[in-house]
Amino acid sequence: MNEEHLTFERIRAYLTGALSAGQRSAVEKHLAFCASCRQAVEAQREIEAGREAAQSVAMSPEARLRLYERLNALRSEAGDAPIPIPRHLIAQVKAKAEATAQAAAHVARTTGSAAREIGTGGAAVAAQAARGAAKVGKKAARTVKAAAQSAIEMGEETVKTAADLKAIAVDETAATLRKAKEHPVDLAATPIRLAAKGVKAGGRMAEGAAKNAYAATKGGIKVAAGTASTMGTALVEGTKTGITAAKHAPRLVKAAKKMADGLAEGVRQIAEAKPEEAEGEDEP
Amino acid sequence: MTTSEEETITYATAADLVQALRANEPQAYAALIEGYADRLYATAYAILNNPADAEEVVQETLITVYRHIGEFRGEAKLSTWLYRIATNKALALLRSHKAARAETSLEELGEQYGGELPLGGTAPSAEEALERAERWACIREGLEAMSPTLRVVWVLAEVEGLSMREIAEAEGLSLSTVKVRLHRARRFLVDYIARRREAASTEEDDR
Ligand SMILES: [Zn+2]
Repeated sequence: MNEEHLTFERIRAYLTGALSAGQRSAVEKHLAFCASCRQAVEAQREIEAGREAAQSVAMSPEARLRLYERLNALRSEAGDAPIPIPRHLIAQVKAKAEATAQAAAHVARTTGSAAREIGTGGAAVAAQAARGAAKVGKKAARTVKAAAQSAIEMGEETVKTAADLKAIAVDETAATLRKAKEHPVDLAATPIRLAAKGVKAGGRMAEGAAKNAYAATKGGIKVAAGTASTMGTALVEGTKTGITAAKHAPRLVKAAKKMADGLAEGVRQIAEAKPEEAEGEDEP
Repeated sequence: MTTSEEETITYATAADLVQALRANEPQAYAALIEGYADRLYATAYAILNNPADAEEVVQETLITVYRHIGEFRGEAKLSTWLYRIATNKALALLRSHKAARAETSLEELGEQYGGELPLGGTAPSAEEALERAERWACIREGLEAMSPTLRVVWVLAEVEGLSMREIAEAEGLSLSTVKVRLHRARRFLVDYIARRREAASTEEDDR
């Protein structure tokens, strides 16, 4: 068979339906056995989709407003009258700025309460560890130090985890809101991404809680190694602390998720605040 | 001449708009921005692949209009002149960035490709937005691999829908040069993406 590969003009014509029935079936026959031309057809389809995406690019209202302002600054230097800025544009930018401020407040509130919850959870774990240490201490003074040490370790770990998480939340919030304000696409896609981040943050929290539980158990074992007589109490107390930490882990995960949800909600608010802008004249 | 509810005056013809721009009527600039800024932005964005750079190009283009409207010859179309200014600015920016970009780390490149496409108008749904951003990511890699001179011609034809004659006029090229470049640009992009698809499918087969 004398088969040549399809030219890309032919592929374009095929995809736009510009071929006759006969030409079309010839193309399809070739495609049936030629993988390389099938790839070319798919590539052309991708290009078509990308082209449409590129065509729908438009300035953000903020960028448009900056354009007016930059030109007006030059005009003012030259003593020219300013360009009137369309009212709808100002309204658009204002609406978005207000929504952003509201979203930021909302996020700060949820982040704050989540961080508080994380702090409370951490404190409960640390308190339980201290109680355990005290109980063990009654049996044998020597072991108090070890237990107290493990309580301190746990407390530190918890505080670190909470601080880490808060930093993540605060940084993410700032970055997300900054980006979301400028890029509508990012804005729409952000809730999905944030949900993923929430899960990640939850994972970190759970990891922190697990570390606490480990530290608690380690403390218990350390104590147990002290004297045989205190071993039982130490183990029991160590385990109690571990359980407390584990009990708080889901709450901590929930708190992290709450933060992510708060962010997502804020972002949604901004997205919804953006008024429609459907005109697009090419040539007046 | 009509006034929309948003107070921006629209001009019946581009010639009317040019005349008003020459007279330095402030409203004429509002009409220019409302009528052309998005198109220039989309053009610059497709060439430069960066929202901040695209914004700069649009600003510089309109500043050039403000300063040089007196030199605009009436026989060319206003849109053609605007595209010429914008693509020249975009190419200049591309050149000035080249040295800096050469030092871009792989990670940053990954970030660029994973970056977002700024879309105006109605906020699309999250799924739509992701899909569009992905589609764009597919071809922009190919566009970035293409030489800037081919890229400009491709963008003006495929994104802006200019005729080859209009591209020739905007870029100061002969019609046959535009034809050759557009053909090469289209083929480059198809080949690039098809090759990438093939590589991806081979990878899958190897697993
Ligand atoms: Zn073939």
